[in-house]
Amino acid sequence: MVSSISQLEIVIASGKGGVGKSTLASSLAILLAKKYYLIAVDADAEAPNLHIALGIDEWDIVEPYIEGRIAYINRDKCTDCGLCADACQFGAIEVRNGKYYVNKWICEGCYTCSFVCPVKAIFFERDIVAGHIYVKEKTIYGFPLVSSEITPGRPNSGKLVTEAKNKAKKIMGSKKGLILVDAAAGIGCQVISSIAGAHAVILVAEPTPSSLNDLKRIHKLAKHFGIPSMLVINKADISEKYREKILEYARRENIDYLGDIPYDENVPRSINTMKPLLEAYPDTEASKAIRRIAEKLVKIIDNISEWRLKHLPAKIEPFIPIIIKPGNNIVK
Amino acid sequence: MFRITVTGGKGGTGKSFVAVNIALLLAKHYRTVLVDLDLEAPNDHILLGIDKLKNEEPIKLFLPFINTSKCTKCGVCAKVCDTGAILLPSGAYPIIFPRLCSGCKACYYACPYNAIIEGYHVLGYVYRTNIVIENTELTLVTGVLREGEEHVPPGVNYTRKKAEEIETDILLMDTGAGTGNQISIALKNVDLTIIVTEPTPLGIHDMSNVLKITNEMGIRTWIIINKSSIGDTSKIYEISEKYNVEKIYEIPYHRDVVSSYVERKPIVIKYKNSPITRVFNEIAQSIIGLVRSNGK
Amino acid sequence: MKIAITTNKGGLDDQIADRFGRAPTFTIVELDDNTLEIKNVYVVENPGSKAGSGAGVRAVQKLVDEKVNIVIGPNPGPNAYIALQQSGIKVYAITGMTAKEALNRVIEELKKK
Repeated sequence: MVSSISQLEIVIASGKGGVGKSTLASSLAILLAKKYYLIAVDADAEAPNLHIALGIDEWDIVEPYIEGRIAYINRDKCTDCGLCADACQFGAIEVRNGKYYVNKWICEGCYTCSFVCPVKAIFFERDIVAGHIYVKEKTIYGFPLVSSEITPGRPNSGKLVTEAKNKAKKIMGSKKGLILVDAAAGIGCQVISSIAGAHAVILVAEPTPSSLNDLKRIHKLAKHFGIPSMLVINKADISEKYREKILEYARRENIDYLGDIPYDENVPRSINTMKPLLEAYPDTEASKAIRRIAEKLVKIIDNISEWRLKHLPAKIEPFIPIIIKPGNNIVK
Repeated sequence: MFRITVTGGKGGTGKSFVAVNIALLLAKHYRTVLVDLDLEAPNDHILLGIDKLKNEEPIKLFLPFINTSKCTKCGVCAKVCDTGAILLPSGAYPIIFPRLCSGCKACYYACPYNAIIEGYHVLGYVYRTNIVIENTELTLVTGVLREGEEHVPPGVNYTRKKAEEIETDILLMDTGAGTGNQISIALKNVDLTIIVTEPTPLGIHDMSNVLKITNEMGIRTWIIINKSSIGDTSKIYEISEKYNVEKIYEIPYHRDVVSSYVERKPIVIKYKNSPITRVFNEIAQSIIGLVRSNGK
Repeated sequence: MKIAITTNKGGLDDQIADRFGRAPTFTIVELDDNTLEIKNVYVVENPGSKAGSGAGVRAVQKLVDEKVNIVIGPNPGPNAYIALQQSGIKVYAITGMTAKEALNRVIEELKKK
């Protein structure tokens, strides 16, 4: 069983999308579920796709997630002065036939318009369904999946990610096991929330300059939280030069290198079959590589406390933001 | 001005490929501005074979600064900040967290003592490049987000506003991936939306999400099924009917497309006899029909 | 002095929450400045747990409003980290035990000084 940490949370993250995070996440979930009690969480709420790889087309539970505000203009009070439209920094207030309306697909509910309205004609709708949480109690591979999705038009949310993780923890109850999280993409609140509370992070990168950049940024986040990291290089053979650079960074930063996955055309092919790679093309090079990576991961999980001590990141330097003061170009 | 938005939800469906080629065909007949609103990874210029973007201008995002001579440390700014970007430590002036600030200006308007000064930080850059390909003139406006910045919607808003300042007949906007409000900003007040999708589960899923928005906003919508030969398109036709899609075009997966990407030459220029070019010509003609009947 | 501990349901017998910015509650302990004896314990909701974004900053604002001197919990995220620095609130990064156990450890530390 999972050794000294009874509910082990491992997050798979990469920064920007497209490097193969979800392929790896779905494959690892299937392999690890054979050995441990596992719950998979798809925290990539802008574009969740774990359920597609796992062949899920129906959910057992669908819960709306309520967050945020949308402004609306009370037409009885509005004098069509247009001050709100000028003040809105997102262009969410539109004019139609001389009358002003809030576009609910753009409005982020920031209150700005309500502060400038001279006749207090602006109100806020609060029960906004900003997203949904989905649960499949048992996938055909035997483990539960919790997924999340943002409603089109709504801004990204770190809280939705937290709710999805909390749902997984609730399902887990007091059982011992593993929570495997497919993190959100990007660098904002939704990613911070994906990583917070994890015991280990698996970083996925591909050997390109932009991915190396993303790797450093997301690793910095993991360091902030004091979470030890591992590395998988996907499409590893597309550039030896950048593969080396990534490995060098990993060596310097005490990141545990799990292995490479070679570029394999069967990977995009498997995405269309709605079957995971390991099932659609079990003997292809990428599948073999992922199985090797899973074996290493099992050894780490079975000795997790020891491994964590060995790979705990060094103390992080405080981040000092650079800003430009108004009026002159003095850097703070 | 006739406004067209090319969007699609899922990344990699070929939005930019479609936007660039249609823009070039339209530009033969009308003054056309192509706007690349994919601020996180713009690539219209790459497809056009442009190495250098011109006329760089910073996209300034509002950032509050505290005027300590007026600030009474009342804390209203910290309370109204929607993204938690302002902290009021005890006995000290408010502290701003630039990376959390979305630039909404609520604090600026809410402060009872007018103690907030309008500063800014550079969110990214807008470029305006004039292109001439085989005697066809096209103006390309490109928005780019600075690395590390995450607030896309205000950047998209700014870039679109800049593009709208140009005197033109046709404004063609190429959005980024996703279905968040950065896409809705590009869908406001447009005459036509072209959704580029592909016959895969993810492509279809995202297409449905975009259709929800365009249908509710009452925008004329066409669909282009790119790489139509790789999967089953029947679901797309089914869903399109639900959402009042006016026209559907198919572009099969074709070698000419790959070649045009690799050579960085638009397909309607390099492969004029390609079946793909034929489809683009059809689409362009339909658009021209709309432009004429709109009298714009 | 006041010490806050990130908790779930709240109270000294509760486990320390595994995340800082979105910890459901803070359990706040008032100690005598000289003897470090516990004078009062109460639980407050963490506004960060309700926030879509900026949870870390909002959590720290609550600690500031409660006039907390020290906070015990997991490593804070990048924004909370700066907020704590700017507010002069000291952090003891401790997890995997009850609030009471962690509090005792910190009191031991403080007594040594």
